[in-house]
Amino acid sequence: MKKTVREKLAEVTELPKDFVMNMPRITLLGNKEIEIDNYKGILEYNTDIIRLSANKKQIVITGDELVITGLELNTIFIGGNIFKIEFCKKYQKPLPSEIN
Amino acid sequence: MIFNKIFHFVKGYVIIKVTSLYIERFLYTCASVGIKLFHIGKRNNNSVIMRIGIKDFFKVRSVCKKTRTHIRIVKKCGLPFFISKLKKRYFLILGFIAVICFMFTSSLFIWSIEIDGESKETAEQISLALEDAGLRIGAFKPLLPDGEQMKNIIMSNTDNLVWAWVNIKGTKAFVEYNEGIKPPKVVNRSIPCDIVAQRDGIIYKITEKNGEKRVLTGDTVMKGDVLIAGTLTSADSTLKTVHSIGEVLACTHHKKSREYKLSYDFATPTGKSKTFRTLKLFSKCFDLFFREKVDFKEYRVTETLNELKLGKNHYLGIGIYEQHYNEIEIVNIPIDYDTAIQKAQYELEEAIAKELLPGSVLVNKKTDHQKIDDNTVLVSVEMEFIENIGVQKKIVG
Repeated sequence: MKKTVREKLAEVTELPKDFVMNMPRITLLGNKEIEIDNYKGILEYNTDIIRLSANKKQIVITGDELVITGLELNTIFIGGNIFKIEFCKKYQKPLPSEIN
Repeated sequence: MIFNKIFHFVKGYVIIKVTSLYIERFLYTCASVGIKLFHIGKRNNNSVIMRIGIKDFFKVRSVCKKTRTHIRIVKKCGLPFFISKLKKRYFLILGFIAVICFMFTSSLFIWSIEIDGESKETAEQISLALEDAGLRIGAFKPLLPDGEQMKNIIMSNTDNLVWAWVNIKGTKAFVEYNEGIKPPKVVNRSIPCDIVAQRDGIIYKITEKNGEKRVLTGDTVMKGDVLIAGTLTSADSTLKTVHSIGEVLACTHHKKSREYKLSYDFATPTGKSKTFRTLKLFSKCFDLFFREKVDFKEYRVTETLNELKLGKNHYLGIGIYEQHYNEIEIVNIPIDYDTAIQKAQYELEEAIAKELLPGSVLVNKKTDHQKIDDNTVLVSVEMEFIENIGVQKKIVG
């Protein structure tokens, strides 16, 4: 896979990739809690699915009884039973069969 | 998590119900403006319940207009709201302040004094000395002499003390002391006396240091017989009295017998109990019951005193004294013959031990038992000791 300029820059300067490449940093605590830094916005919010916008990607979190426990400018905290975390192309909804 | 909850409670927050067609837009706009939202709950059609800080709540109005959202306050939570509610309740605040003032002033006095020690006489002497020092029930603490002065007063007013100290913990004064070993009494050798037998026995050994011995080894003596006489006859037939000193060891015989049942009474609690409470307010007691009446046939009493204190040692002088009456049932449990004999032997030996003189040595022991009927046994214990039976008796006239 061809490396982008930002990726190469991150490797040369040894700076954190999430900072240089403007990528989301996802921290998972089992399947109960998830913390996403550097997200761009909430596209969909439901108890079964939360769709977030990240840099050029979409993060789809599917689960059961999903709740946003905290919401800040760059960080979102999600709780509940998390089944799946997916990365999709931006503005493209996954098929219902993919969700289930 | 718990720190987060405490932080939110202290800062105060509002639970709001947000209704909008575009809730996601509202959420993101809030985040971008810098409004912190938390505990965003389940989505119910077009409404979501969430929590927002008090300061952020006033900023949310512009976001609502922008995103066409309707907000309704469900509940106001946290310390700022609690305080604002309390501000209107003047009498509650007054009562609270009065209680604190009362507790503060009452803790400036001594409400109980505990003297820890074995000897009653010394404890009485110490309590009198404490009175002199000004430490009595109701004494004002700041006016009390300091520890060293208090110690000097106690030591100078009490005999035979090695060390004493008064610890004041809240409204309670604890007095600790150590007694010294009493010196032996000085024998006044100018008083003429005989040594007489204080119980029956057969003389085993006699050592006279002063006086004239009147019995020999192997003689049988009765209680009150003169063993070493303090009246001496000199060569010219004149009588001379001296202070007799000596040791007379005699073999004494002790016998005890009793009838014992071949069963054992065992108390089992039935589970029924009654408690009588007394309020101990400083030095006064107030009964919190009308009549102390216990209907139980057999019962055991336990007493507890729960005292109110600040921290570990700061007693406030207020407490509840409880008397628990627990009903018991006496159950007769049969025991075998050997166990009954053992138990009887132990009890009889203890009874004999109470009669012994100090320094007695066991020589011989014998136990007899005889079955009287199916449920009764007669047990007798015979013991022989070597005892110092001599005791000084003043010569009169």
